[in-house]
This record gives sequence, C-alpha cells and structure tokens, in this order.
Amino acid sequence: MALLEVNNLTKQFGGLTAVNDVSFKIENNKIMGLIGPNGAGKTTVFNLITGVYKITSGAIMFNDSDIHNKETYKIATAGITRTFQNIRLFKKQTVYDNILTACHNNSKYTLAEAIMFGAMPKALVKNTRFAREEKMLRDEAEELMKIMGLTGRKDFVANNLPYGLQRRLEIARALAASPKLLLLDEPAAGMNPDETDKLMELIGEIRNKFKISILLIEHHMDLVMGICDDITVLNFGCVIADGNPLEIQNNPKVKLAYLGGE
Amino acid sequence: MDLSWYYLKGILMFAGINMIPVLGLALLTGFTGLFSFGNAAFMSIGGYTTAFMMINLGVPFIPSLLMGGIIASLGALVIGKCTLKLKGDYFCIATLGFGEALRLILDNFQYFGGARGWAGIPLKTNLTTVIVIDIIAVIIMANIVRSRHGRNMIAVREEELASQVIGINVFKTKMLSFVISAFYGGIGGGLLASYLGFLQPKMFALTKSTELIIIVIFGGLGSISGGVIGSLVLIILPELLRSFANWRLVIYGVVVVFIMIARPEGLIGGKEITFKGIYNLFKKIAKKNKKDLDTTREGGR
Amino acid sequence: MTNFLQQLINGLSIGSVYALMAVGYSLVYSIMNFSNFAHGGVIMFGAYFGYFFITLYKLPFPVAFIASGLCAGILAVVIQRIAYKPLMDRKAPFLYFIISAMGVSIFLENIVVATIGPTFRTYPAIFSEIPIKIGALNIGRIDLMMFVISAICLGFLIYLIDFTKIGKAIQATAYNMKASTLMGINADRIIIIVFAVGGILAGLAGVLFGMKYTVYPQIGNITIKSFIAAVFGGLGSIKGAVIGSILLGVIETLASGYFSSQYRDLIAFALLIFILIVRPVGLMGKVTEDKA
Repeated sequence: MALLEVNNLTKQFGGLTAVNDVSFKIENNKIMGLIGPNGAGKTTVFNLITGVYKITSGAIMFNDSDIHNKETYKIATAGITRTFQNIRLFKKQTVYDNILTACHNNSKYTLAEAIMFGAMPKALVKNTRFAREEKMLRDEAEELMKIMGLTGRKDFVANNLPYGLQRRLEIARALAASPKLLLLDEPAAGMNPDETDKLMELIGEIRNKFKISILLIEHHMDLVMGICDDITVLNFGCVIADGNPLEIQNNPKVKLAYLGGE
Repeated sequence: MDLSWYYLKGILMFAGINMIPVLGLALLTGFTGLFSFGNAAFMSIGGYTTAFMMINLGVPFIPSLLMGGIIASLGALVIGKCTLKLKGDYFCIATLGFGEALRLILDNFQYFGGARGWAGIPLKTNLTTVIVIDIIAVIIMANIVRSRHGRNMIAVREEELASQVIGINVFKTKMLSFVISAFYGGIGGGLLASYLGFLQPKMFALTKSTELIIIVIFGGLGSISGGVIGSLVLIILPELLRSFANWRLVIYGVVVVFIMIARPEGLIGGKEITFKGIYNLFKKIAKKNKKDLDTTREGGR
Repeated sequence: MTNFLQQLINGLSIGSVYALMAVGYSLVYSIMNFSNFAHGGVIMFGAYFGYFFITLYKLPFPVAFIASGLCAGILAVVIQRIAYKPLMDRKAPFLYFIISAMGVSIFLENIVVATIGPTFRTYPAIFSEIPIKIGALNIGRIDLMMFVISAICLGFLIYLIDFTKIGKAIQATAYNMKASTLMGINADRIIIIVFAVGGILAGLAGVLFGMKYTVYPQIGNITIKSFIAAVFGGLGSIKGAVIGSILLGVIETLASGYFSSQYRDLIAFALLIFILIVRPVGLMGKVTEDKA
C-alpha cells in the first residue's frame, strides 16, 4: 500500500496534452524525484495532485482514497502540502507569522472562544482550550523555526529575507501544516553549490525527523541523485523512465531527453 | 462655529456610530483583502430591523440592536454565497450591485416608508452607549484578528493559493469575515437609526459604502487602530469645518487619490497602536534624551 | 404586438447609448485590467460640456456634440496621467486602481456640486418633439438620433480597432502588454489613445443622455449600467460590450414596460447577479483555468 499512487494521469488544456498517462508510486518515508526538461509537465503533475487543476482522466490515490479533483484545502488537510516554483510566501508577514498561520490545522478552538478569552489576563484563562491550543501552536512554530534554522530571523518580514532563506521558510511553512507527503517545486532554484548541499542535508533531516515522504521537482542533478530514493523522468508529458538514481543516470532515453544524445 | 457641548456630543456620537461599520469593513478589506462596495447595505438591514423590532414589536433597544446585527449577518450569508467565489473586480461590482439593489428594493417597499423614509424611531442612542459599544467592538475585533481565524484571513489576503495549500478553507474564511463585517455594519445601522430617529434608503446608497471604504483606506489597511483613528479624523474634521460642507466630498476624493499615489499604507501604515507600543515609544524617547544629556555633559563628544 | 415592437425600439435606442459607454469602459478594462469607476464622471462631464456649449456658447448641435466628445476625451487622459499612471509605474496591485478611480469619481461629482450647483439642467430641444410614425409605431426623433449616432460612432470604432494599424496595436497591447512593447509598440501611447477614445465615447454618450433626460451631477451613476452590460457581454470584449448593452437596454425596457418602470434598475441588477452566478465570464468571455 503506497502512500501516493498516481495512475494513468492525463491532463489536457484544450488541444495541448500536458500530462499523458503518467503513473508512479511513492512509498512511506521515501524521497522521490520528478525530473525532466522544462515544459515536461512536472509542475502540472504537482498542480493535479494538490487539486489546483482538475484531471482529464486517470486517478490519484493518497492513503488508498481518491484525492483527484478534491478541493486543495481538503487535500492539504488530508496530508499533502507543497512549495511553489515562484515563492508564494505571505510576503508582508514575519517569519514567525508565516509558520504560525500554517500550524492552525492542529487546533480546534472556535472563534467564539477566541473572542471571549482573548482579552482576559493570561493567568485567568490559562486552562481554557483557547489558551492551551494557542500556546501549543506557538510552541510548534518555535520548534519548527529551530529545526529549520530560522529562529534568528523570527521577526524578519518574509519579503526582506535573502532568497535562500525565503525558500527555506516556504518549506517550513509547508511542514507546519503537518503533511505526510511534502511536494517541493524546485527548492534549489537559484542556489549556489554550497547552499544546495545544505538544502540536501536539510531535506534528508526532514524526512528522518518528521517521518514523511517527499516528492521533489529539481533541475540540480547533484541534489536529485544525492538524495532521492527513486526518480521518475518526464518528457513531453510522458514518463520515459523510472528507477533508482543509478539506473536513471545510465538510461539512454534520459540522456537523450536532457542532453540530446551523447 | 457653535462649539457647545451638545453640538460636539453629536459629532462624537456620529463618529462613534460610523466607527463600527468601518471596523467591520476593516476586517473584510484590510485583513481579508476583499474590497466590498456594498457594506452600507448591511447598515440598512440592521437599521431597518432595529426600527421594526422597536416600533412594530415593542422590543427594547439593545435586543433590537443585536437582532439588527444578526439579520444583517444572515443577509451576508446569502450575498456571500453568490459573490465570494468571484475574483477581484467582479466581487467589487457584485457587492456594488447588491448594495444598490437593496436600496432600490427599500425605495419601493412602502411598509418601511419607501423612498421618503421611516420616521418616529425611538431615540435610544446616547454617548455612553456608543462609547461602550465602540470599546467592546474594538476588543472583539482585536481578539478576532489575533486568533487563528484572523491569521487565516490575513493569509487569504496575502496569498490565496498558498493558503489553500496549507489547509485553509478559503471560502469559509472569506465568508466568516464577510458575516462579521455585516454584523458590525448592522449594529452601526441600528445605532444610527436610533440616533437620527429616522431612516431613508438613500442614506445607505453607494456613496455610503464608498465613504466606509475610504475611511478604512485612509486609516490604513490591516490596522484596527487605523479604522478607529480614520473614523475619528474623517468624520469629526469635516463636521467641524461645517462651512465647507459641499467641499467635504471633493476633498475626500482628492485625499483618496493622493493616498493611493503617495502613501497607500494610509495614516497608521498597517501597524497597531498598542499600550506596549506606546510604552516602548516613551522608553525610546527617554533613552535618547538621556544620551543627549550625557553628551552635553562630556562637552559634546 | 405593437407594444412589444414599440418597447423593442425604445430598448434598442437606450441600449445603443449604453453601448457607447460600455465600449469605452471595456476598452480600458482590456488594456489595464481594472474597472475604471471614474468612467461615470467623464460621462457626466460630457453631458455638462454639451449643455454649456449649446446654451452658453450657442454652438450648433453637431459642433457642440463633437466638441463635448473631444473635451471628455481630454479629461479622460488627464485622469489617467494623474490618478493611474503613477500606480502603473509602481506596478501597484489592481485594487489600488479601483480605489483611485473611486476617488476621482467622487471628486468629479462633487466638484460640480460645489461649484456650479446640483440643480437639474435641461437641454433645449434640438430635435422636433413630433415622433416619426411607421404604421402604428411612434419613433421619437431623439431615440432615432441616439441609435443612429451611436451606430455611427461604434462603426468608426470597429473600423479603428479591426482595420487600422493603431487598432492592431491596441489589440496586441490588450492581449499582452509586455510582449507588445517588445515588438516595438509604445504601450504608454496606446494607453493614452485608449483612454482618449473611451473618454470621447463616454462624452458623446453623456450628451445623448443629457438630451434625452436631464443633466445633474449624479447622472454618472448610469455608468453602473455600462459595467453590467460589459460584464454581461464579457469583460474586455468590445463586441461583448455592444451585444451586452443592446440586450440590457432591450430587457430593461421590456421588463419595465410589462411590469413597472420603478423596477427598471432593479431588473438590471438582477441581470447582473444572474450572470455572475451562472456565467461570470459573460457571453463572449473565455473560461480559463488559473496557472499556479
């Protein structure tokens, strides 16, 4: 029973078939890479998995239930979150607020409770569900910032962060929503080799610490080959190869697609 | 310029009454990012409901007022269902449409007096009531904004798609914000009804909705303090300059364009004035004075 | 049946004036992607220009008509320079544009109230009051003129857009502003032209409107009808704006003829709400999916 199963997934935009009969599986606690030349349909696959686009045909199963065509927020609550190719942080909010907002899923207090107890002195309302859950959320946010190395920039406005840290914050925010499967869309874009190495370590740590699976779109091959357990290669919307990094590196079809023949 | 206490009291009450729909709109527009050009409709629903409950059903003021807020909220549930899924421009036009449509319906609804209005509403609004309700309204709004629901609204404003991806039900969040803004609008309308003693549909036409939006923007989007101070400035100042009554709106128009071009963050700039903030400000000033004093002692080094 | 045809004709006439307004609004929307709420103010100024050209300066109608259009066009460009261009240069979010437009609209309406006063003014009768009789139908001369003049203006516009180089440049800029600048099109110049054209049409519509009804500072509110018509036809589509306007005019007139004239505006809003629920992209609009 795989965590995520994509079966014969197809997406057509008018006359253009962006994703064509794509199938792959992701097991628990594994990192899978989704690679291919630009325009191969990788981000479209992400958008289909996360419910941003409706599928044309096929099926996407998460934990054995269909999630294709469900609303994005429901898919997120079920356990799939993602980052974006063009960073979509809450730009005017601080690092802390970006992460804290995403923790909301784990709390249940109603707005009425927030209104009633929000203004009262902390000592009086310490034991209410509102106060307890707020504290829990804040603790979670602090913990996540520590793991992701962002505590020092807690009160920085997201827009003012250096690019590499913005990407890291986006990952942190996606993690704050407690996913079982994390989709990363080109997390190393724009990074130098040193930053890419650090990112590789971070992704491995995340997989181990949070016991989640990760699906990764990337063009930095050292990152992909270094960290992925499995790789699926797309070209023109079709799967042209899949396997472990060694198999993929030696696959002539992959070489043809990327390098135009050797 | 007649500055008798009675006159001043009237202006303060008027500002305090209008502050409440402004706060509601601040939540909807400033914090959730939805530009509604029809929130005056909620004021009119609240106003007419309050009047109806007091005159026709003999219900006391405060329960009538609350009912006004509740019926306005129900209205928001209906209107929101139709409009909240629309994008940007369309939402503006749709809320504008609903606002004007309601006014037209009331213009033709003779039971409530039609276009000529409904007079004889019991005058129950006084300064104390307004101030108390204002304080409660601000506290409630602050609590909403600081809760996870408030954070979700801000997230929706900043990045709708990213909010969905972290599990926020965007539609429900927008609806919550819309309903609360309607409740506040309804309360404001009810207070207004019982302050003026009469209601006319044209009091809640597009002009009123636009005035509310202007005040929210002037005070600064994303700031409750901005809504409070914006209301006080933009309502009290023109009243004091009564002789310029005709030019009040001309100046509003210029102010709006000027703000958009020169200072879109508005007066307060999206931050909040809190007790802690004021305390820190004093501390900073005290520290600076001490430093100055020290340097003069050392001969300016 | 006669009544139906009569109403139909009235509806066509008012619809054609709506079309003049809606097209100007739709043109601006297609280029700048925002609703120019100041459009109503330009229409209103057009009505006042025409009124003063005819009564104060005693200009003959055709001259006054064209002059009002030109002045309204200039006004529209001035508005763009002052209230929108700074925002464009700053790449401000589109909602800032709407707010700025609102501010301009309020300014325009109230500067008239504050300076020359809100009293209603009536155009002197330009056309004879005697209607033209075709069979059992009475066609008011002014209604006929409204239709004919609007048709001519719209004809000019369609010629401009579809058959001239400038028109192609406008279409290109509306499709993709960045790409068209890369092709050597001066986007700023196109924007000025579009605002001017929209303003001229608005001004002409204002004169026609003022002639049929009366002139007062709030007649700019009629622009809401042009929004509804443009949304109905599909925001950004010129042909849609025309079709939407004609349909709106006809539906409004038929409904108010068969039910009650008091509900005329209400019908328009009901139509808007209906469209927004059923098919928000309008008749000629395209349904697209968001790209993440």
